[in-house]
Amino acid sequence: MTDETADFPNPYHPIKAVVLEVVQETPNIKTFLLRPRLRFPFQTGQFIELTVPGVGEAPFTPSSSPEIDEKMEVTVMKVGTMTSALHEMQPGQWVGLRGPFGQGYPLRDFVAKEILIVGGGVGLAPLRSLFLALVHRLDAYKRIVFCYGARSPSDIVYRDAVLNQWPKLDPRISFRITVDRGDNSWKGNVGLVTTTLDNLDIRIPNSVAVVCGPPIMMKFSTLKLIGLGYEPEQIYLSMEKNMSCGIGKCGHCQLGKFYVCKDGPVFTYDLIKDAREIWD
Amino acid sequence: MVAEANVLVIDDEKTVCDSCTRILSESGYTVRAALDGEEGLRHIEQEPFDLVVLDLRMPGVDGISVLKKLRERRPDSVVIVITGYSSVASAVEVMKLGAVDYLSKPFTPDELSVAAARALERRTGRAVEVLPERELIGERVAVLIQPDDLREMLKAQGRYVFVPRRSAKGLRYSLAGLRPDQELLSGGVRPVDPLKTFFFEARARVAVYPSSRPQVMSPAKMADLRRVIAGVKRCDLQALDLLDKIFLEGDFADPFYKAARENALIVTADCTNPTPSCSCVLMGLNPFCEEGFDLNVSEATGGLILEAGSPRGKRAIEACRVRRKEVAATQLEEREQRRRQTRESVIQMSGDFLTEEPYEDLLKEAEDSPVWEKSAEACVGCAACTQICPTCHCFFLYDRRQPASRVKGKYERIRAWDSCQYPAFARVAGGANPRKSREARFRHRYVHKFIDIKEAHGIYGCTGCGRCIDVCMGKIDMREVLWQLSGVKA
Repeated sequence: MTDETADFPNPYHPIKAVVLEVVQETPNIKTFLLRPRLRFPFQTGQFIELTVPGVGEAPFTPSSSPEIDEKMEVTVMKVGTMTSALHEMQPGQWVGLRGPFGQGYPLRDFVAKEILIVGGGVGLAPLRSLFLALVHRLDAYKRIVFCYGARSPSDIVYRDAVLNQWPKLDPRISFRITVDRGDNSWKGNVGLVTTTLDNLDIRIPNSVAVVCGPPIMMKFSTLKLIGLGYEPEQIYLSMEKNMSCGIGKCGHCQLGKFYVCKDGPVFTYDLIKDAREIWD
Repeated sequence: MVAEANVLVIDDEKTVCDSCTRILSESGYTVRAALDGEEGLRHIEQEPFDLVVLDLRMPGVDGISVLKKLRERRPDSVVIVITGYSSVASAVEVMKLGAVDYLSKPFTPDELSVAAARALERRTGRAVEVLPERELIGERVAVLIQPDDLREMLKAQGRYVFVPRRSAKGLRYSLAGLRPDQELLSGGVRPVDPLKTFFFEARARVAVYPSSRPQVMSPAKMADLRRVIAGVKRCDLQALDLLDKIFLEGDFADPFYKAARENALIVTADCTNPTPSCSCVLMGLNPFCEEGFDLNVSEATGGLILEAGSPRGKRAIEACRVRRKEVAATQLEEREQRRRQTRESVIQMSGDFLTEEPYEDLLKEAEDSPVWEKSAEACVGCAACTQICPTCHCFFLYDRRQPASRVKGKYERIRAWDSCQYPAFARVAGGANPRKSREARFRHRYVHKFIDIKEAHGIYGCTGCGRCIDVCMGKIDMREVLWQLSGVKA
């Protein structure tokens, strides 16, 4: 029955995407450039479910610009079964894609604001997409202050962009990079990412802060921002929970009354600050 | 407001043909009529129709032939088939040929116009305003019917009829109709199986990939979903309401749930024989249904009171050609009295656990209560409570190579029940896990059911069916835990 096909959109069905390139970012992080079989528009901050055929799925936020919908980049840290299998993949092989899912960054609310971005570790992936989206319409925003912390110099993701290219893009863009532990060649800041939030020359009432990284980093960055005078509704958090179905049904990503997959992954802090398990 | 549409009515019975034409014209459609298949086909050759209302049994060129021809010539037309009462089986056949709905004779003007609106909505994808459900229900249709006749009537309403039946494993939903002496609505209490098993299978294949077309449900599978589920009790109907909100609302509906749900006829029945774990009254529910069903059955002296609660239920009553009588006022009174009695006996079983505060309030205050640790000690983490729960709907997805694959290199995705009581349920790949301890998982089940679901959907995630109490190996009684949390010590 042809009309049944039309009536039967299947949100569990992945579409095919070919791996075009694989970039080794750090010893355990790779970026995969994918070409989906169909155009795959998304809003920056939304996430996708990526399938390694026969192995399974995991949620990732694209790290590429939302202005490009025929290709997509996804940056993945090797931590478990699915990501290990993904890290084995070579150009020419295919993966599955579902999505995009959830609520991304509401860029309209960022217009004419001073945007503070605070990232930690592989949390830089969604922030890269956000940064590229902001740069695409840089005139719409007042300025961007980008703070990023990695464990060590060799753990810095998008190393060349972060250290060399992005800071030189425009006078309205400034970067503060730090590592937890330096090495012989490292000449920059050493310390947790929260130390880069000292002495910010931002007019906070006209600012928004975006935070993404490991839970502990998000917790202390958020608390520090509150201490600096940010209101909870000015702080945008990209929450990591165990999103599985992506469509608000399977229950794995419950955060209080919210499902992170449909109500998030981007939340303003005021919505979830009282949720149990927020930083766990 | 109805959509503009060209409609063709083909029926050899002139009275039926005329009245269909009149009803549909009054609904605002442009209607043409044909008194046999041949004339109908001539119209179809000449102009396109958005909707064809087609009688199945006609002399000469019959409905099936017209339908086949129509599929070739005008694949965009949607078709509603009209059948006699006895030919439901052939109705299923024509559904396979692409008809979107069927009406059994006799049908009411309302039924025809609603079916037409629905069919056209399906075709255009536009929202067509149909009569609001309330208005259709109007004054409730209720009749008195005999058990044997009810069985026959329900059999006509679906391919399969399920009823609760006593077995060695307790009261279970089973296929009805094998033995004539079988009680249709036996038990008087909810079966062991939660109703969700009909709509949300414990394990189901939800995708096959890679494929450029999403998996669709085969017409055969779709026809198999025309099920009548009878003897449903209030606790399970309430659970179904919650599952509807979860699986059907929002940006993405679950297509498998949707298909099963839309094809099912839900026949509820008053509870008459509650078990000791029954606690619907604690959840603000009664042990009988007043709305949300297609049909409801209540026992009364002299027969069964059969009440319609939806257009489909009303259609079923009106279409049935079995002996039926008006319900007498005394019988309605008797129903009220029986309902009150059952309610009283549930209160007897559960009333002692009644807390002063609503559960959501007392749980907010009891977050750090020592009761959690003490109660969780008896929990073995088996997750039986969530598996048997009529509202628990968490699942996980896993992928595998298709076994004995016909086509090489295909994979399949399986959706299987999961449980928040399993340690890794909320764990993320990086290792973070908000509920590492059994106590945290134990508490989560309560907090989620009584606070989170209430905030998100307006109703509790517990309907008081008591199944979790019956199956718990640690003999944990949810009512008791809540009561202890309230601090009200005997």
